[in-house]
Formats: sequence, C-alpha cells, structure tokens
Amino acid sequence: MNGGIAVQLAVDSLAAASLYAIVATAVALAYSGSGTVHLAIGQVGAAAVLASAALLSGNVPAWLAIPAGLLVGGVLSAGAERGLVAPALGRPLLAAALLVAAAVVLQELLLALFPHPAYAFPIAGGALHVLGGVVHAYDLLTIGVVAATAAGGYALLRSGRVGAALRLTAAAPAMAERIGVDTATVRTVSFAAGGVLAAAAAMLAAARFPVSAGAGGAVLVALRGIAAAAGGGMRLPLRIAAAAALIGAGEVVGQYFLGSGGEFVADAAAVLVVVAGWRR
Amino acid sequence: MAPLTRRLAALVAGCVVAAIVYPMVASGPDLDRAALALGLAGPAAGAALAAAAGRPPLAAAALAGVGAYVSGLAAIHGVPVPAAVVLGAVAGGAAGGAVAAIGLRLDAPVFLVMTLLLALAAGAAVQALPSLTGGQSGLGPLPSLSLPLGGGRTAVLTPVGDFHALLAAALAVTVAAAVLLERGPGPAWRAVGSDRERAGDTGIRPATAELTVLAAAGLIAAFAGALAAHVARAADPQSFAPDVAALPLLAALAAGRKPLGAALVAVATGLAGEVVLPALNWQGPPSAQAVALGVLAVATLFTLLPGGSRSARDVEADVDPAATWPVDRLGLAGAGLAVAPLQVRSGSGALLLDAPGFEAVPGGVVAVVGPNGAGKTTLLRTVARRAGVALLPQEGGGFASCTVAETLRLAARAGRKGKADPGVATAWLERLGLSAQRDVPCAELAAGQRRLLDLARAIIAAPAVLLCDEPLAGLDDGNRAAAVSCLRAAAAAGATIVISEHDREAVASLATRVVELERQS
Repeated sequence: MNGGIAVQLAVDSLAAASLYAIVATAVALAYSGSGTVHLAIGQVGAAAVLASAALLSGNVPAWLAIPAGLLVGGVLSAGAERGLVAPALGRPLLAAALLVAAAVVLQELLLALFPHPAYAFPIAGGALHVLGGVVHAYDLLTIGVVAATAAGGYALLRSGRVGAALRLTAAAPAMAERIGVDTATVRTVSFAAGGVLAAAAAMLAAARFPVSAGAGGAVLVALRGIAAAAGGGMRLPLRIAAAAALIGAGEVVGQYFLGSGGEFVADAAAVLVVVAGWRR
Repeated sequence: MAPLTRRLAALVAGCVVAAIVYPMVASGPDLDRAALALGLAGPAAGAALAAAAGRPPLAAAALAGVGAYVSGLAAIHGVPVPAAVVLGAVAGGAAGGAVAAIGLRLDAPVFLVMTLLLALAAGAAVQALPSLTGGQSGLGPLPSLSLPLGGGRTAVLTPVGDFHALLAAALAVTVAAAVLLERGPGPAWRAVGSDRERAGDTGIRPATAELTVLAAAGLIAAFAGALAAHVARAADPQSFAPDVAALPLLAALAAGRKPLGAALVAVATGLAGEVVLPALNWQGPPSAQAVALGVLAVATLFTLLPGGSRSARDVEADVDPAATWPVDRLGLAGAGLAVAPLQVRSGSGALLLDAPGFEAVPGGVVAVVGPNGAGKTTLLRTVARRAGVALLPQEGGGFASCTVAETLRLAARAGRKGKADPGVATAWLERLGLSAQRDVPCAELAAGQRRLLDLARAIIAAPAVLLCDEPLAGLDDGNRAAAVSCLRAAAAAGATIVISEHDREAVASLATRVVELERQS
C-alpha cells in the first residue's frame, strides 16, 4: 500500500467515523435526558434529508432547503419524545418498542411519499490530491462539521445553564425538578437537538449512500451511530469517538480489502463495540 | 378445559378448515404466496418467546434466514430435504443461542440494536460470499419440498402439498412455542423477563434462561424459514434486511408477547401483503407488503401506548393477619451474619453513612431504623453485596407477567431441586387469600397485595439471610399487620432476617435487635 492510498483510507475512515460520531452524539444527547435509546433516529434523519431533497427539486434554494430539513429532523424527534417517550418514562423497554414501531410507520410513510430508489442531493464537490491519493471535499466537510459540532456541544454542556440542566436531569431527575429544572422541556429539547444532528448526519451521508426512503443509508448510519453511543456508555465522549472510529475504520479498510465484505466488517465492529462498552 | 387448551383447540380447528377450504378456492400461485405468509409464524412465535423473557430480538427473521441458507446449502449438496430442514433448524437454534450469549451483558433496548446489527452483519457476510451463497441474487434454485420414499424414489409436493406442509409447520411451531411459554421452562423465562434480579434471587439462572429461550426461538424461526425457502425454491439475503426484521417483533409486541397471537398477527400481515391486497389490484407505491407492515406498526403503537392496553384489574384480596403462616414446610435454616462497622463517603470525602456493626442470628429480626437519608438502603445494599445474599427491594413486587401461582411455585423450587414440596405454593396461596386469583398475572394485583406476595416469595425461597428494604412501606393496616406476622413467623421458624423500617411501632413488635442510623450532615 503506497502513501497516497494510506492517506485516502485514513481520511475516508475519519469521515465515516465522523458520521457515526455525530449520530452517536445525537443518541447520547437524547439518552442523557430521557434514559431512552432513540431507536427511530435513522428514520428521522431519512425524513429530514428527503424533505430537503424534495424542496431542492422544487427549486427552493439550498440555504433554505437544508435548514428546513434540519428543522424537520428536530420537530419529528421532539414529537417522538412528546408522543411516545414521555408517556413511557421510566419504562425504557416500552419506550424502545414504541420507537421501533414509530420508526416502521415513518419508514412506510416515507416509502409512500418518496418511492424512487434515489433522490438528488447536493454534495460538496472537488478533491485534493495528497501523496498520490484522492481526498474528497465532502469527506473534509463531514470531518469539519463534526469537529465544529463537537466543540460547540462541549462548550454548551460544560458551561452555562443548559448544560447544567441536562446533566442534572440525566443524573437525578427528581432532584432537578425540586430545584426548578423543567425536566420535561429538557427531555424534549435534547430529543429535538438529537433530531437536528441526525438530520445533519443524513445530509452528510448523501455522498456515501443514495438518498432514499429504503432502509439503507440513513438507517444504516443511525444503527452504527447508536452502536458507537452504546459502546461509549452513552456519555463518555472519548469512548464514543473511539467506538465510532473503530466502526468507520472497519467499514473503509474492510471495503478496501474485501470489497462488499467491508459492510460485514463494519457491522461486526459495531457489535463488538456495543458488547465491549455497554453494561446492563 | 384450560384457557390455553381452548385456544390451541380453536387454532387447530381453524387450520383444519383452512387446509380443506383454501386449496378449493385459491390458484397455485396464491397457494404458494399463502404458504410463504405461513412461514412468518415461526419467526413471530420465536420473537414472542424471546420478548416474553425480556430479550426482544430484531433478528427473528434473520434466524429464519439462517435456517433457509443452511437447509438450502445442505439440500443442494445432496442431503435429503427433510434432513436439510432439520439441519437448518438446528443451525438456527445454535445461532439463537449465540445471539443470546453475545448479548448477555446488554439491557433490552441495546440488545434490540445489537440483534439488528448482527442480522445486518449476517446479511453482509452472505452477500460477500457469492460463490457459496449466490451473493445478492440469493441461493437457488433449491430443491422443492419432498419426501424420500426409498428405492431412489422421492415424493415432490405440489403447491397444495406445500401449503399443507407450511400450514402444519406453522401450527406445530406456534403450539410448541405457546406450550413452552405456558408450561415447563415458560414461567422461569417470563420471571426473568419481568425482573431479572428478582428471578436470580428466586433460584432461577437468568443467563441460562436467556440462552435457552433464544435457542428455542432460533430453532422455531429457522425451521419455518427452512421450509419456506424450499417452497420459494430460494434463500434470499433480504431475510437479513432491517425492514424485514421488524415484522416478527411488531407482531409479537402487538400480541402482548404471546406466541399464538404473534403467529396469527404475522401470518395475517403476510397474507394481507402477499394475497389480499394483490387480489384487490393494489398497485402501489407503496408496495402491498409495505402497506401491511405499516398497518401492523400503527396497530402496535396503539396497543403499546400507555392507556391503549387492557388496564390492570387491581384484584383485592383479604388476608387474615392473625392466622398462622405455613412456614414449617419451608425448612428455613438461616445463617449467622456479622456486619462490621461501615462508613461510606462521597467522592468529595463527605460522610454519607456511618453505621455501627451488628450481628444477625437465625430466629432473630434485626431492624435498621433512622430518618430519610440516613443510609438505611445503602447499608442493606452493601450488606447484600458483601454477603452475597438477596435484597428484597421496595419497588415493584412479584413477577409482572407470571401468575400468582407460578410466582409461588418458582419460589418453592428455589434451591430445592427435585425436593420441592408441591403443597407449599397451594398452602401460601390460601394463606395469602389469593386462591381465587391463582391464575391472575401479578401485574394485575393491587399494589399492597403484590408487595405482600413478594415478601412471601422471598421467604419461601428460604435464603440464608432475608434482607428486606422497608417491607411495610406503602401497605395498608391489614396488609401491614399481615406482613409483620409473616416476618415474625419466618423468624420463629429459623430464618435470619434484617429489615430497614420507618415504623417504630412495627419495629418494637418485631425486632429482636435495633440498629440506629443518624442522618449525616
């Protein structure tokens, strides 16, 4: 393997890992507020990117269509929290089952509304040549978005009332209520923020997977993101990042050496990080 | 006739009618499509079994796919079809056990994700080995369902034969799953699904229960999947896809994790998508199968949403505090327990608990008293962890999805393999005033009665030391008096008991030793 290929594989791995990390952050955010694994996050992301794609195909400018898609993600996710997770609070298995059923309903609705196998979505074009390898602009964009999100999220959670309210709601909801934190709002907002992040991940994934309503791209990214979040115990940023990196590297390196077998490597890596990182 | 027997008899009768009538009105292709819909009964019944044990899988369809591929490969390589189907079922059982083993440390929601990832990994592996499995286009054409007759002759089934074979298989796996969940290991599986920790304290091995239930689920799903593959004459990598994964689990959840209902719901959904909507000239998009699955998902949502299911009956029972408790037949022989003085500090070094040492002896009741926040529960949890004994917690009670009688029978078997007294459960049922509610799920008892039942469960299991965290909290006067007399009787029969309690009056009448805790600043 020459240096160019190594650079290309490294950047591809980092970009794939970034995608999984952003979903993992979304899942961990929703989990920290509610104790519920957001199992519908893949379909929320798919709905968001399809909504954006539909607006774009209707000649709505990208600067409007993309935020509108992000908004769709946030609203759908917040709706799932209000309608399904809040009534099942304290019963994580019931909440998970409700979210699985809702995910299927949403997916079938999307299939009815968006029946084509793929929809056009703009991706960052262009490429750099580094040591003989090709580094795509969309990969750099993905890495940049995730780095910015991570920095912003860290600053938000470590300082200020929002972060304190979220941390307290996650650790001791009864105590948070007693000192005046509106935990219901915190949960809804954390789900909404998770939905926006999932929507962003689905849009960034458009360069890797076709934008469609099928249980492909966005759902696959979401599942691996959930695995990374679980592998990091739903709260430890470095472990979540490491889990996402392992899954991303498994996908890219596996595909390089095994072709379509790379998907197996990525899924096996996802199972591995879940089993290694999560406890009852 | 018992309710299960009645339901199964109705199912058999329905299948007999379908076996006679449907081939008279349906064409060959319709029979094949109906046969494939019947193949969904196995994964759905398997998913219901696993979900009842607290291991809801999104891999039941994938386990059916394992059966299909293993059976198909074996048949292609010359193994007679019936033997190939058995091989496929065994492979599915082994795969189910492996799924359980991989997910042993995961709680149910994450287990769901892990099973779907495993299904996707299996699908990717199948597609990555085209020379062996046919890759994306699947494995086929497979030999049809057939029976070797000897002398080199083979009877190949017609479409009607395929339909009858799949109908019989669907009936067999559904009955097997329903009987397994109701009798034999079923109560233990459901106890683990209701409360894994309490089940462990009642002598059940949760890990063994989870391994066996998923092995059984895999066996059932793979058997149906293998048969369906020979009817379709192909094993399809679509079996491992996420959208296919949802149907068996949704059917199981919509049917309240009952195998019989789950199989019926799954087959009805399959028939709607494969036969009914196409017969009504449904063109789509979305496809007929997608519409059927969507309707099932909506129905599942309505079934699961709190308030959408049948409400608890809150059965009240009348328990006499003054009558004697049947503790003599339990062979209670508590162990001595010496607890050293204990201090617990927070991460910042603040003193959270400062408890004096104490001893508990067989026949005695030690009561740990103190205000809220003094650390009573922390002390009991620490003692339980260090001494390796069970703690009866304040929350919940009994096994929600086991009946009252099953809960007491499970406790009576705890640690008494082969020596369980069959009369113990009956005697306690009568003493608790719950004979009329013997077949009522614990979830439907009134809260106080459920807690009293849980105290009885813990005593019947005859632990070396019985640790109870505020066993009287939340009980009305009648149940409180009954709980006090029950604990006193257990101690008198030889149990070693340590409780935490607020009620000083109850403590005065019950405890042989009191340990005072102060709230730390």
